[in-house]
Amino acid sequence: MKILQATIYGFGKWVDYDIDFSKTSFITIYGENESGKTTLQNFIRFMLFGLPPKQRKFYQPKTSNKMGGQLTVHDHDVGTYTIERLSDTRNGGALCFTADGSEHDEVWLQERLHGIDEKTYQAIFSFSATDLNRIQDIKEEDVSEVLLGIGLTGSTRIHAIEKKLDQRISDYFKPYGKNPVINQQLTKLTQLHKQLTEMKREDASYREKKNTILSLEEGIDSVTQEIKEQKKKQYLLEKILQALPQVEEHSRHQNRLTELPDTISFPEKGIDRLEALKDRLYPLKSDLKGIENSKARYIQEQQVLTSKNNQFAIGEAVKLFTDHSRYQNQIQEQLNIQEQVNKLNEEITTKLNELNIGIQMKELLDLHLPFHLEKEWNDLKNEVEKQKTEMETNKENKHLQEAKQALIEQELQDIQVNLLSSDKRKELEEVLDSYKENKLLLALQKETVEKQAKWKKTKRQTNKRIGFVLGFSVVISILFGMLAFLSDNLILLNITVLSILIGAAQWVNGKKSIQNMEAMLTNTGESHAKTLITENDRNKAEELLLMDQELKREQDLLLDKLRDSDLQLNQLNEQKMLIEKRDRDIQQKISSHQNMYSFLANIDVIYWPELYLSLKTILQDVKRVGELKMLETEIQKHIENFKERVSAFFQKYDFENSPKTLQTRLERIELEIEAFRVREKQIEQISVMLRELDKELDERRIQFETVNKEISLLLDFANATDEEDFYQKSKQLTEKEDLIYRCEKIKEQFSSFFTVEEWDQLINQPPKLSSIEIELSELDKVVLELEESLESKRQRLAQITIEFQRLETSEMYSVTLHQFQMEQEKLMRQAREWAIQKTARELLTETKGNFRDKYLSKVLEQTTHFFQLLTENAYIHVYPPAEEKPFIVERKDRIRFTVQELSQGTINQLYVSLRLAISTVMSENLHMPFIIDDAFVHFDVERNDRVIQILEQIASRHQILFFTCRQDIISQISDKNLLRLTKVVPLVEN
Amino acid sequence: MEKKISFIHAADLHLDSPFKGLSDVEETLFQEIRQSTFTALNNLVAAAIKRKVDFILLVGDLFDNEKQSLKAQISLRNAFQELQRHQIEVYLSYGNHDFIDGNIYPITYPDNVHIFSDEQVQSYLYTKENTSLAKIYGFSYERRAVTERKIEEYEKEDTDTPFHIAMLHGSIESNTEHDTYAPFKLGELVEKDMDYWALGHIHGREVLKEKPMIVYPGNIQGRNRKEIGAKGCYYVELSEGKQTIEFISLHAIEFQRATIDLSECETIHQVERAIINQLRELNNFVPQLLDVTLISNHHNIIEWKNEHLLEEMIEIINESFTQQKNWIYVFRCTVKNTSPSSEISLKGEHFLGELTTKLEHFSPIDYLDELFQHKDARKYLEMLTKEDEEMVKKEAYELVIHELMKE
Repeated sequence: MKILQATIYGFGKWVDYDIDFSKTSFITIYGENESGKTTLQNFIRFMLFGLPPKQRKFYQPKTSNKMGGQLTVHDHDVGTYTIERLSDTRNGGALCFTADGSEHDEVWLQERLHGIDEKTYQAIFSFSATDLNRIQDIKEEDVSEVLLGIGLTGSTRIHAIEKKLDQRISDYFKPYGKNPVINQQLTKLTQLHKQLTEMKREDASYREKKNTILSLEEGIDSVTQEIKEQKKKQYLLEKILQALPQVEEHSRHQNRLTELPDTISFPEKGIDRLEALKDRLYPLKSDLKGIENSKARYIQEQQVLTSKNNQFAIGEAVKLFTDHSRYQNQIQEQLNIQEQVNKLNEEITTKLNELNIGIQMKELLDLHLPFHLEKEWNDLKNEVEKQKTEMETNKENKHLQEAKQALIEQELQDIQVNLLSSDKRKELEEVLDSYKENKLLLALQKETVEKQAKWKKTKRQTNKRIGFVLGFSVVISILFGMLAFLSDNLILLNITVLSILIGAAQWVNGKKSIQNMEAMLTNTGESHAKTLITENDRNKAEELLLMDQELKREQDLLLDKLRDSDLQLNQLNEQKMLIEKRDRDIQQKISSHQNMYSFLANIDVIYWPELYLSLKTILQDVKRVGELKMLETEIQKHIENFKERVSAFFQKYDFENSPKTLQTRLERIELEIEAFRVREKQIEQISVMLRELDKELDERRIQFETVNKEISLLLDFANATDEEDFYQKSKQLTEKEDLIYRCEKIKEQFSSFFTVEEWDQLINQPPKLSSIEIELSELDKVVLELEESLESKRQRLAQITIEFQRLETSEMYSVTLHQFQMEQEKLMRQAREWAIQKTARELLTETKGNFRDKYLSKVLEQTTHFFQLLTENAYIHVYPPAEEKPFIVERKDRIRFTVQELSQGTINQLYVSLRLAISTVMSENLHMPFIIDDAFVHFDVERNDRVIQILEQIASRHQILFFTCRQDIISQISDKNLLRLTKVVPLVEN
Repeated sequence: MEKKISFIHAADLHLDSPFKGLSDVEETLFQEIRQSTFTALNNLVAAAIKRKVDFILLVGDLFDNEKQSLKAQISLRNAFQELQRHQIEVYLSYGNHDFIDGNIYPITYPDNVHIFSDEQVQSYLYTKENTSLAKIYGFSYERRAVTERKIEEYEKEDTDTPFHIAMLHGSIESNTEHDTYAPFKLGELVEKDMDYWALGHIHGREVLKEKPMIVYPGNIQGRNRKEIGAKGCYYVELSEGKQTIEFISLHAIEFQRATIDLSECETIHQVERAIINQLRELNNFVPQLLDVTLISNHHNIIEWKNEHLLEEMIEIINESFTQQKNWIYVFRCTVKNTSPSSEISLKGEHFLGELTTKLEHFSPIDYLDELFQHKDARKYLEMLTKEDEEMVKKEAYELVIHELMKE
């Protein structure tokens, strides 16, 4: 696009002014300060983009009421056209006229301008000196800002939009947020959905409720039916209860009826007939009674008499009376016996006194003398005498022997004194032994012979002595044996035997001592002496020894004698002991007899046999007395017996005024026997009278029976056992008829109450009151329970029905469903809104990135190019700012500098290069005219030249309107490119 | 006597199904909107009673299993009971939204309701005063989708019966706008020699053919911005040799579109007035849910929009217009700027140009995943359609431009 001509009707200081830009593409417009350069620029902008009314008003010329103008431009597509704008027309809107004469509006114009508005244009296609200072601070963001700002509105704007969108997006939704609207909506929906599910579940219980209702209804029906039946039962029971007294009465009647016989036969007017018969019967009955009474009286009388006789034992009384004479005889006999006894007792007493042994009558009664006692006492008497003699003999012998022994012992003592000591003798014997061995032997043999001879003599003596003893003892024994035989005494016999034994023992003893002595003598005698002694010694010794031997021999002899004497003494002692022993035995026997018969104590044994005979006669008398006494007792017993019988008789029959003495009693018995005989006669008389009475009684009885028979005929007819029964039967008959009548009446009374079956049932099995009452109360309970169950079922049904109906009429689910739907719609709407914001945001961001990527490199390339030109290749490269770093430039020598390190001049050059680059790049397709307002004010001449060269280059593609106030620049520009504002147009001052 | 029957043909009741595209509705309106499907049903019953029809045909999608409410079925039952009181029979089949296996409520309908109980085509005989008058054929969806060609199972039987009516919930094979269930060709229907084809499934009312009658009655209540205008059922009279149909509108609330030119408006107040004037001219008989498009050749409309001024203004307008009985509620407002300046070529090498160039190749999807794939949000958000995406892009672009150009 190229501006060809501007015609100002009025704009600021400019009024009715034309400028022609058509000559060249690069036009320098020169004007001093305040020459209206800026106003002109503004006019062009106004023409292209319009102005808001306020600004239009600002540019209203003071000298003219016209405000506006025309701008003729050439467009590559549509050719040349003119834009006209007037402040007060079309609200400042444009009107375009094309070459073909058609008019176009603002929209068309905008289309021609490719939608670029004034601001964009300003950013891209015009720059001034005031912009230059900024480049030092440019950072990456700033470059973008510049770029974007040139492109449209600037990154801060975009950034602001981005922030705004972000804010809105997060107001709508945050993935993990709570408060953003969509999040809130989601919460709401979740809750609603939950509610909905719950309600759905509740609705789903509909089926279950329906089933429950059905089953409840069924239950109610069945319970109702049950109640009905129970009540029916109850009603029947109540009726029965009401009827029960009558039913019971009925059943009582029935029971009574069953007790009564089925048929009762009874004679016609039976009672009257019976009464008539009974009237006839009464006199007969009284007659019978009178006879029977008198009969009874007689019988009683007879019985009294008979019993009196029966009570009296007639036989016994007669016997007692006859026994009386025997009793008197016995009394006499008793007296005789008593006399005899007294005579005998006197005799015995005299005899006893004669004996005078202190024995009494009394003792005699117990004394018993056995037959052998007489002999025993004789024997004992003999023995005692014999013992006495033996004792004396023994005593004498012993005395003699002891005197003999004392003599021997005296002799022995004398010898002992003269005897050699044993050592001496041994010494001597040794002397002699050797010498007189042979001699000794001879002497010994001799001695032995001597001894034997002596022994034979002793032996003979001894044999003689023992023979004598034996003979003596035999004599004694024969003596005693004879005595014993004569007196029949055992003790004497014993003495006999004893004496024989003693004699024998003495003999045997003597024989034995003889044998012993013989043996001893035969053994002694052989001794040897071997010692050889001198003759002298021997003689001396022999002498001594001979003497000693003599003495010794003498001693031995004496010793033998002593021994014999001892033996004798011993024998005598033994004999004495035997006698003493025998004496003790006898004494023992005596004392045993004395113990047995105490009276013997003071009587010597010798007199016992005589005593025995005297006692014997006395005892015979005693015996006689006893016999007599027994006889007397016998007679006494008979007397007593009789007396007892009499008194027993009286005791038994206990008569009045019973007599006490035996005699009077016996007299009384006689009297009683007489009375008995009289009564027997009376009894006989009464018996006769009784027989007559019986005859009369029989007659009367026959009459009575006849009447009775007629009565029993009546009774038989009625099957009555007796009259009572007959009356009973009559009563039963009337009762039965009455009962039947009453039953019928009751039945009739309830015929309307019960059916026949019910009544029969009731009658046949009448229930008990208590059981009915129990049943009724049970029924009451059952009915109550049923009614309760019915009630609870009804309540439950009502409740469920309400719930069911509530479900059926419930709007809740529907409401929630619709709410849910709406909230979901709302969410959709919000989501959509969010989506728009989100899309917008992302679209913006992506575009921004694209935009920068696309243009930045181009711009920098161009910048480098221009920078090289301006610095005459002093700098060869420009790097864009990165992160925090600003622009970096590279010098010819490859050294790099940041913007801050550059001189102000170089910075200015860089900025100009950048701006030019941006403009060229951006306008590649737009071809809008550039408006540059003294951008190079700080450049020196040389650099200005280079800029102008560049601008000239650019001008080949873009129209450039270069406004300046510098004279030095004008000089470098050809005239055809120069427009001098001041000189061409007269300035109209306000 | 001439044999004659009259009935009502309706389909796609979608009872208690929520409306699409509505949010932030105030309470009374909300309740009215929520009740609208039921009101429409009541209207249907009232119409049937008023016209003393013989029976009613309900061809599927009476309610939505997915958003099944007990209330929907209860009100259906109540409606049927009301019809029973007036000796009006009901023949109903289930469709892809109320398929049998998905129904969780054991509602028992009264005896006057005849349900096609499975996917096998069956028939019911309609008799009146002991005269067999009509054979009604149909089937129900047991599963969510029936993609088999059910048309082949329809066979006319018992030709003594004067009228033969077929119920079919499905769509023409070539129709790709909707899910194609039980597909058929128009020619196939014609071949079957029925007196009336009572169709369902397509919510747009349409008479496909008049001889024989092949009719989509549409749904009875619009439920989104696409289902605009009157909604209802067909009243049909069949007599020998003569068939008449008449549309009866049943809707309680009407969805409607309005375009308002705001080119002349310079201020937001003018905009408000312009819109109010336009709304006043509507003079509607039923409440309206309005989808408004604001057109202006002026750039300021975008500004107003981006500043949410329009939004606020619509709120104010809604407040005043929802007070009246036949209220009007602007539930959606789109802006269309026809001004050339907004279209001016910004394709130069400056930033705006760069932005514009960028826009052509810009795909926001990746950025939007942050929300649309968010673990909580994705449960409740539907993915943006291509169309939505373009709209978003466009609006985003406008937003950025607007922000950049702002003074």
